[in-house]
Formats: sequence, structure tokens, C-alpha cells
Amino acid sequence: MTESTIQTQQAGLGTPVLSANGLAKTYGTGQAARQVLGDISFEVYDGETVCIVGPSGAGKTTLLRCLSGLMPASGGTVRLRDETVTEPPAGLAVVFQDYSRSLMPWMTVRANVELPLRGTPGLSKAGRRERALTALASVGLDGCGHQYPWQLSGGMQQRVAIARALAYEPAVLLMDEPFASVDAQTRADLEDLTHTIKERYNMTILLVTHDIEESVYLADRVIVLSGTPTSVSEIVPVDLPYPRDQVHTKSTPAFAALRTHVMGLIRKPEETA
Amino acid sequence: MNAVLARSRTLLIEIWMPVLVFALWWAASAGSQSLYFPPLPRIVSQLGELLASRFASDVLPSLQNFGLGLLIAVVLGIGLGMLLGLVPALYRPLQPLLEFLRAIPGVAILPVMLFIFGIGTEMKVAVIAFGALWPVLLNTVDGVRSVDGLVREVSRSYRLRLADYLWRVVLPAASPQIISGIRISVSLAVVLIVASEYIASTEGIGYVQLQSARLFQMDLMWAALLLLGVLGYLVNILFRYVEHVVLRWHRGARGNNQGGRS
Repeated sequence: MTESTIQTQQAGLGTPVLSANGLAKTYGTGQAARQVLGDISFEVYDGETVCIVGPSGAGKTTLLRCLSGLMPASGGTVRLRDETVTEPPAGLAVVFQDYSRSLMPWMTVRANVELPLRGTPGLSKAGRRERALTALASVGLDGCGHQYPWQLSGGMQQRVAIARALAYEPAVLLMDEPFASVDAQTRADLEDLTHTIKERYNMTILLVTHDIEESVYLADRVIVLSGTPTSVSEIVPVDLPYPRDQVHTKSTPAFAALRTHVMGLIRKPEETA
Repeated sequence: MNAVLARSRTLLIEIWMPVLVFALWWAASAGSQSLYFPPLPRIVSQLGELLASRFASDVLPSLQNFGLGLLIAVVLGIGLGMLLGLVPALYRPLQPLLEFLRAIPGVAILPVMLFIFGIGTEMKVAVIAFGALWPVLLNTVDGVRSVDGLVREVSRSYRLRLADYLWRVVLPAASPQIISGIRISVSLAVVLIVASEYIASTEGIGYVQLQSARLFQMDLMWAALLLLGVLGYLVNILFRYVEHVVLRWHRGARGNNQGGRS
């Protein structure tokens, strides 16, 4: 290993786990064509939490769907480690905003978490069960496995969706506005759960949100989207120390400065327009 | 204890009217001299005899044809329905044809089945299966096509194996519509038991009923009619119970969306 590679790894770099290169998306063709994403490039490195933040209607969900292989991009490439993403790849798990529709109501909580593991080669029935129960425990849902999703509160349902993603053991965890449909207190709890997961599993997380404060609180780096078509306005490093907590981290001057900076980036295009 | 109480209450609410009608019929028909409307006690004793002496020769064949025909309809209907529901390129060109076939009354297919299968059991089963197929098939197609888009995306992003996707996602998601299709098919199948036994038949409840009417054995005719009614009712209760068990999750999920837990 050369000295320079050691240095880049110490700086938290190395080879990216997930990268977007010149990603573009246009809906429709001809006269009706509408370009939503224009030339988006960024990298996500091992073990880091990256938040994508942007105004409503900026195409954040479109971006996440392109990244996860659920929708083909119109231009550019997405790479997960060494593979170009064209279909949903094995190393990605997605947590969607709408937990009530993303969980299967006809299955118990445990069966929901086990479902994606059925295709895992070499995993026995007992191993599957073990992984599901461990994942459920790590999101604070011990003993809820036999219940049905609709018997749980919204926050608990989203925890089940997160447990399902964790049990899948992805290289990158993608989250699309995961806490946008729960109340404020639950939201704070789930944000802290995201920190716990990052710490305990050294999970690489890419989270899309419209909430500036949430993005700064959760991220190691914030990718700010703006403009039409949407492009990366700035990638803001967040050097707030860990462990972070809702009361103290959010009351530091550094947090306030970062929040103000990100807000300024998002608002700027509107002011000049 | 409360559940038992509630259940017997439901039973009572459901049963008082039939009991009353039966009692009125019994009273009104007592001593009747009419050839066509014999006293109920004679009908009931005929029913007892029908069940005792002709169960194996007439009642059982009807039940078997019903069961087998319905089974074929359900298996074929769900299988084809899932295929057509998942492959729009197949469904779209076939849709007018399916609607046409569905519109043919099951009874009208009888002569066709008669010269394909002859006058045996196969013909009767085929008539029942054909008539009962369409509600299951078309409801399955509808159910499969209306599987939530997000559920499909979750399945895709977790790369579910096809078998898991079909068996654990699509089939249960479509099950409320499939089951309401099956219930329509059940009542059609009961009609077709009788129809298939009216023509070129030598056994079955429908045969007994038509034959006894021709011979002016009105007690037996009414007894067979009563039996058909009771059978239809019992089969319906059975499927209501199946629905109750299979769709427990559906009631729960729906109740919660309306009741609103956050």
C-alpha cells in the first residue's frame, strides 16, 4: 500500500461504495419532455452517512429511484462498488417513506423481515429466523415478531421496515424521506435510531430528506440539491462530533452555522430568480 | 365466555326467521289435499328417506361433481388469472374473448359438453368447472393487476425470487378479490349441479327432483328441492368461514386504516 492510499483512507475516502456520475433524468419525450435531474455526480464512502437535501419537487425521489435501480436514468451511470447499476442490485436495501404500504399486511412482522432473506443462498430457515430476530431487536422491537404491521404504530412500522433492510445486510442503506410521515417525537427517536445503526453496524447510509435540520443532524456530508433541472449545488461536510444527541448537538453554534449555510444554498436560486 | 354468548346470539338472530317460516309452512300445509303442495311432515319424511337410502347413489355424486368442478375452476382460474394479470401483453388481446366466454350462461354450454364428454360424470364436472371458472379467473386478474405499486417496488428492490413473489406477495395481495370471485363461483356451481343432472342423467339430486316431478311424486320433488337449498346454504356458510380465516389480516388492516392509529 502506498503512502498516498493510506492518506486518502485516513481522510475517510478510498474507493466509493456507491457513486453517481453525470446522472440525468428526463420524463417524456419531444415537446412534453421535462428534465428533472441534470448532471448529478457524487460518491458515498464506506461507513458514512450522506444526506441528500433539496426543496420539494426537486426530484429527490426520482434520484433515489435511479440510484436503487428501480428506474433507468436517461443519462450518466450509477455504480455500486464495481458494478454498474441497471436493475436493483443485491447490495442495496431501500426504506420507503410510506411504511404502511411498503410492509405486507398479510404477513407477521417477522415474516416481513424474513421475506427478502428467502433468496439468500446458504441461509437455513433457522438462520433466517435468527437474523430477523436480531434485526428486530436492534431497532427496539423485541417480542413484536408475531404481530401484524397494522397492529403497530406508524413509528414502529417504520422500524420494521428498517429491520427488514438491516437483516438483508446491504452494502448501502437507501432511505427515501423515511421519517416524513411520523409525528415529531417519533421522528426524533427514529433519527437517533439511525445514528445507532450507523455506529453498531458501521452501515453506509444514503438518506433523502427535505428537512434541513434532519440532514445536518444525521449526516457526515450533506449533498444540497437545487435549480431546475436539479443539480448538486454543494456538498457540505458536517464535522459535528459523535455521539450526537437531539438536545446538545442541535444547540451548538456549529450546528446552527451548518443549518444556516445549507438553508442559504437551497434558498439562493429562488432569490435570484 | 363472552365470545360463545355473542356467537349464540348471532346464531339466534340468523335462525329465528327460517324457524318461523318452517313452522308456518308446517301449520298451513297440515292436512293439505293438494297434489302439488303436500303436507310438510310428508316432505320431511321423504327427505329423511332420500338421505338414508339414496345418499350414496344420488346425493354423493352431486356433491362430488360440485367439489371436483369447483376445484378445477378455482385452480385453473387462479393459475390463468395470475398469468394474465402479470402479463398485460397477454391479457389485453385476450380480454374481449374472455368477456365473451364469461357472458355465455353456464347452462348453455351443456349441449357442447354433452357431445364432447358424453353423458357421464366428466360432462357434469366440465359444465360446473366451465361455469364456475370465469368469476374466479376475472377476479384474480383484477386482484393481481391492482397490487400496490410500492409492494411491487419493494419486491423488486429486494430481488425476491419469482416463486416467493407469486406465492407470498401477489397471491395474498389479490386474495380478497379472488375469494369474492370464488364465492360467486360457488353459487353458480350449485345451479350447474342441478342443470347438469336435468339432461341425460341417471343419478344426482337434480335427477331425483326432475324425475319425481315427472312421476308426480311431489313429496320427493319438494324434499329434493329442500335438500338443494340446504346444501347451497351450508356450502355458503363453509366458504364464509374460509373467507373469515383467510382474510383476517385484510379486515385488520382495513379496520386500522379507518380507525386511524398514527
